Amino acid sequence: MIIYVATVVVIAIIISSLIAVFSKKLLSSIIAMGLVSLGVSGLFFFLQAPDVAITEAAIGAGLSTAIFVIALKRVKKGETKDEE
Amino acid sequence: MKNETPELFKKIFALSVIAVLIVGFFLAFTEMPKGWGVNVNGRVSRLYVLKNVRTATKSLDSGKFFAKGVKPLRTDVAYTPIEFKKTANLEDGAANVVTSIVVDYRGFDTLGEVTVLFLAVSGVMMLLFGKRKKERKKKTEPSLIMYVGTRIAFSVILLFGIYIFVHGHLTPGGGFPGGAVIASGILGLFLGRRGYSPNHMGLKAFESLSGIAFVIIGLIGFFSVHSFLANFLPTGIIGDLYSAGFIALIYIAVGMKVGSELAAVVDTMITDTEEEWS
Amino acid sequence: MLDAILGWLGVVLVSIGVFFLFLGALGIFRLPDLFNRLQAGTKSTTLGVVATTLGVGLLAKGWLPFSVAIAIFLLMTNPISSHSVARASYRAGVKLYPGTDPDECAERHLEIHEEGEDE
Repeated sequence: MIIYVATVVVIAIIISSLIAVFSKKLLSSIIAMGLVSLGVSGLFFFLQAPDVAITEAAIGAGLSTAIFVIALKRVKKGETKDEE
Repeated sequence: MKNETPELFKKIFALSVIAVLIVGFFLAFTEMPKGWGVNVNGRVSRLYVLKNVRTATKSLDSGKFFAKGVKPLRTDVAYTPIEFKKTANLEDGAANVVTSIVVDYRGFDTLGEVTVLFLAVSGVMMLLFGKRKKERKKKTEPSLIMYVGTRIAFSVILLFGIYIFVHGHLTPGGGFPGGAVIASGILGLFLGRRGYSPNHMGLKAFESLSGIAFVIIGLIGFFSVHSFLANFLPTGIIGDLYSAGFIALIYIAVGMKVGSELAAVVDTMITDTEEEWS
Repeated sequence: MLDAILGWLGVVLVSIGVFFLFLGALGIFRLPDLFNRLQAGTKSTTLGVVATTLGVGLLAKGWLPFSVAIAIFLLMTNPISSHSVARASYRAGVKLYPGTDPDECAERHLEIHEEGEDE
């Protein structure tokens, strides 16, 4: 049973990492990266490493996504100032 | 532009000097001749042997742990007696065995991880912090729902983070996830109210004090059990909150350190600063 | 006796929760624009998840305190997050479904936008 769930999760990870690489918008890349982290934390949970899963979910899917979004916001602000 | 680049190079140079110093510190600490400092390999094997084999050989009475008529296969190997409600060493004492390895046998490694995180945070702060702050012109004032909701949710999230790192030796989790959870709660506070800024000096002092506490706990082990980051507390009954020796203490220090560091990163990134973009 | 009643109550709660989760998923597929989808995805899934969690707590006794805590936390955070998503997307100019008749938010937000845009 769990192998099928894990297979679905792996396929989702592959698809979202492809989105993260090939997407034109940076914001969608960041969100796809957050999805990758979420899937990886699920995989860690399936592999009986709940410690690593919690860490990955808190840092990878939560904090680093937020920090990337903030950094993107700052960079965009700089770009618009440049154009002016 | 002309004034900005040397500043950046200066900062990067200072950062690399700090990195080299810290690496040198670690090398000096680990590669010193035996008898002078902390020998990591010796520590692991010696502690393990001391704790397991010697206690086992002390209480070895041949035939005591076997039914009548059954003889042990080998008499030269020590058989550890199993006593319930008492734990002989830290590895048996922690309900979450992973933490007993991460904090005890590989405690030095954990100290290194914390230092790496500190380096990353200081790099971010060197690059971004300290610029003149701009008065924000409100484009989007957060709504009242966000304001009240984040205030209520922050207390719950803070409590959950503290729970994670206080129960690090019992349940999955530990200092790093607990600190990250606390930092996400603080991120929620930033989103909930405009112009929120925590006390920077307080954060820095908190972070440094918890880092010092980590080293002091290690040094207590060094002076009482003659090896750095050795357990000096009773291990208690497995599964209790007050068990597993100093793992809980170390994880409290790590959790507070990681939480305040990541909160400082979020603060530095999110606080609007006036910058000259080249 | 009491155990049986509580168990049946848990089964009923889980069924209600699953039904509303299904309705939420259906709404996300069928409704026309973001705000309608958000409503379906928030209201029904909040009820669904809370009912499912409480039902599981009633079915497995040891988990009741945890499930109550999870339910309270979801009740606090889920509506807030969807509120902020809706607000942000309205401000970012996501187009409404043309059949949305009284756009009550429009006047208030117009004022705020005029204030904010002189930066």
